[in-house]
Amino acid sequence: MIRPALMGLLALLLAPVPTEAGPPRRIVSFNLCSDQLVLLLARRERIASVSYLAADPAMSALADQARGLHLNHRQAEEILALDPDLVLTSTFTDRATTALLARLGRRVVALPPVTSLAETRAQILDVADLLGEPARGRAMVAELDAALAAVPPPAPPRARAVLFQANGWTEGPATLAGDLLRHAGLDNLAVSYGIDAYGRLPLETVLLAAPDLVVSGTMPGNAPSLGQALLDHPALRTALPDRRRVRVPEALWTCGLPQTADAVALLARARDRLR
Amino acid sequence: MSRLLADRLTFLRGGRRLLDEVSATFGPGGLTGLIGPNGAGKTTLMRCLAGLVRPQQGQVRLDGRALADWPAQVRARQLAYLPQADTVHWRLSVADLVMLGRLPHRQGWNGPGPADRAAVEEALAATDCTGLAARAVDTLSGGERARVLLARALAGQPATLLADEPTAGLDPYHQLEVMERLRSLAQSGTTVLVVLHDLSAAVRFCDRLVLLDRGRVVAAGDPGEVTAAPNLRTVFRIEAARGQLPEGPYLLPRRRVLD
Amino acid sequence: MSDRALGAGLVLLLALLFSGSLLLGPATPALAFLQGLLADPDGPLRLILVEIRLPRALLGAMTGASLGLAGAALQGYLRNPLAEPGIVGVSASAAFGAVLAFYSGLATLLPLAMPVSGILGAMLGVLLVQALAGTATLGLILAGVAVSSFASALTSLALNLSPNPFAATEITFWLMGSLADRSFDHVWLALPFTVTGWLCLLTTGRALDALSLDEDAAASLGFDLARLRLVLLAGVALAVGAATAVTGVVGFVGLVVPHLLRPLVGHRPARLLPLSALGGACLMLASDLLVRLVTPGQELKLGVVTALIGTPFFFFLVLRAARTAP
Repeated sequence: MIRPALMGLLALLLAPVPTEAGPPRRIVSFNLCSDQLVLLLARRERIASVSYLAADPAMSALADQARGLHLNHRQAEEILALDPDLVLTSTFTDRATTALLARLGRRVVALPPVTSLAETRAQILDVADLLGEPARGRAMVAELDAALAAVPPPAPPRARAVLFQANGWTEGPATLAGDLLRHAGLDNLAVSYGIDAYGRLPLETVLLAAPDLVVSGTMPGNAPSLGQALLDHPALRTALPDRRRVRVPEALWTCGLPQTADAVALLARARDRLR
Repeated sequence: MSRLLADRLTFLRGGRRLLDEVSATFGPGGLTGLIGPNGAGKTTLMRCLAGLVRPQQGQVRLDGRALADWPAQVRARQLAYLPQADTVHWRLSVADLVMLGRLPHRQGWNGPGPADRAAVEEALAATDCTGLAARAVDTLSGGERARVLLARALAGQPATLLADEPTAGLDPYHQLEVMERLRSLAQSGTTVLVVLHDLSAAVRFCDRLVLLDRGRVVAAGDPGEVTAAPNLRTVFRIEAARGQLPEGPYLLPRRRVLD
Repeated sequence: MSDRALGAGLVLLLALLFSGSLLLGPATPALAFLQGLLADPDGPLRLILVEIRLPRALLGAMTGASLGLAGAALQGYLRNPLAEPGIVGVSASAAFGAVLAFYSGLATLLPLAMPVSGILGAMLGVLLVQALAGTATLGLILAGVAVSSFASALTSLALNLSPNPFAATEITFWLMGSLADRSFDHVWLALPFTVTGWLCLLTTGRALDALSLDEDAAASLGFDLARLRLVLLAGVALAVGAATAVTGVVGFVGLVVPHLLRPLVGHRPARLLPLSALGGACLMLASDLLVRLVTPGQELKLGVVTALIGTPFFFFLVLRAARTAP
């Protein structure tokens, strides 16, 4: 169901038919999520450039692999200078850059952000096909499935969790993080407030709902922000002991990757600690 | 009894000598007028005498003690200063404005007491302002304003009053009124020094005059002698007609002296 | 109306608004909240009351009082009804100071760095404005615009340069202010500086009264104007700097409150000080209640509300100043 839509989008953004046959050999990616898929699936010598974010361990699960590669700053000029035969990005960001590159005749593929593990599998396979590495794609999906299968199933009673992010943003079942909660056997509190994808929950509401688990993202390096300071609000600390508050490294769930299964495992462990 | 002494005051600003070794004594027993042409240093001298600026050389002594050694609040009870063309920045009522004169007498966080209110009433009465007490300052005419500001200076019941052109902008009636009031104040024991541009008022009401020119005291003493023709010619560059009326002497500028 | 009656009225209003701040919130309707609290005094409602709403109400009252008081004091000192911490750029420079301390990570190591840095920023702002402006209305507004814009630009720059991707989205907090989800940590951080600032400002009353006259007349009444300047600048910097460091820039409170109260106290600057503090606390709490009631869930920023209330006053005062200018 997702794949036809995705393929439609790919077709839309495909630039004039490539003259050369065979897999792309000068791949440029300038979005964190496409960066990581390229790093996972493409042969290293075919990667012309990924964005600087891919090398930032705070955001990227594959920062080590990105080191040593050319890092771009998401500017059309520097990307053109690399003379890529395939440009990968996301439909979510840098629309102007994407459109400009396509108009200048480059083959640009924009990947939609994934909102579930099922979409993650499909996208890995799609991109693997695109890069001419279908076998690698299947291996990655198998890796993801194996990691998910290793997560212990939940025992009743079911626990209620809430995703509580910077500035009080929460996520419903229709997002990747929401899907991860479901895979970890946790009920999502946002559903009771009619939130399907993204919405805000006041701190008061979260406290009053008394969830079993409050799930937030975390970044290494600790660059401060007010939004994240909220996650350390004394009321939250008082109401919920440490074991009922869990932090998921942002790099694990910002994009859909085989590593995203680690986030499910982490949530499952937090779930089991509740007993 | 209060005696104010200027001892060889020299005041420099931007390389200019605004006051040059000015010495003078001001005491009770009569109204003293300070006269001189524009830029002679009259206001600078007043500000030195009031302790607002410090001369680079010389000192001002109040009752034998250097002015700078007086605690500011104690000095303020002794010595009141009425600046030239004093502005009032808020729409205070006349009573509240005059009450400002009582500030040096108030202590701690308390509001004004009965003594303060009595002094304000007295000052209002003395300047013919009792009927204005409830009015807002910005509704007053220029003359009313000048009288109210004088009342403000009197409300502190100072032993010494320094008034810089208190009659500027007043109609003749109120000019006479303010001058009479200052003279009777001086006669009742207050030391009053008043800057005047109106030479006629100076000879008419003052018991003593100090003539200032380019920062120096040119003459001091009897008003008739200080305003003698040579002084008027060299300092003010005018010739004047003078005479005697039943109420006192008068002086009327007649013509400019051309070089 | 006597000053005492006016003061009592404001205290009553403050108590009402404070209670409202404690009772109204997104969690439950006010009555249900009260009932729930009485039924289960140790439940989550108590936590919400004590850890979320109480610090919010206290911070609102504290910072509102600081802004009202600082506005009245600045107006008295500069003898200009348009002087106000927000308009003259003191708030913006305080925010810049706090932003530097917070996003550099200094405040994580040493929480006091945040109010202290805010206070230093505020002080710099006051000095800059005073050096640029004098007391003329036009000069004051122009200097305020210059200092404000510069400080806001530096704030935005600092936030954009922060390695944290959320930081850039927090510009609105610093430029428009908010009391949302503040905690007792913030109350304790701001309180000592705020109270010191208040004490400084409240002692300036008589000197400000004297300054209704010219500076010479005020000095001749026994007031040391150099000392007044020092105490007043310190008081404004302490009160506004500490407030801004924990709530961001909330404008116009210091303009509206003294303006409304001035005719009621016979235009006397000293009387205006304590009453403006009370009035500022009231206006801040009322604005914060409005923020919570009008757009629950996705809160409007507090500074937006105070600006909407305050700008008509500002326009009016500017018009009047323009008309009476020589």
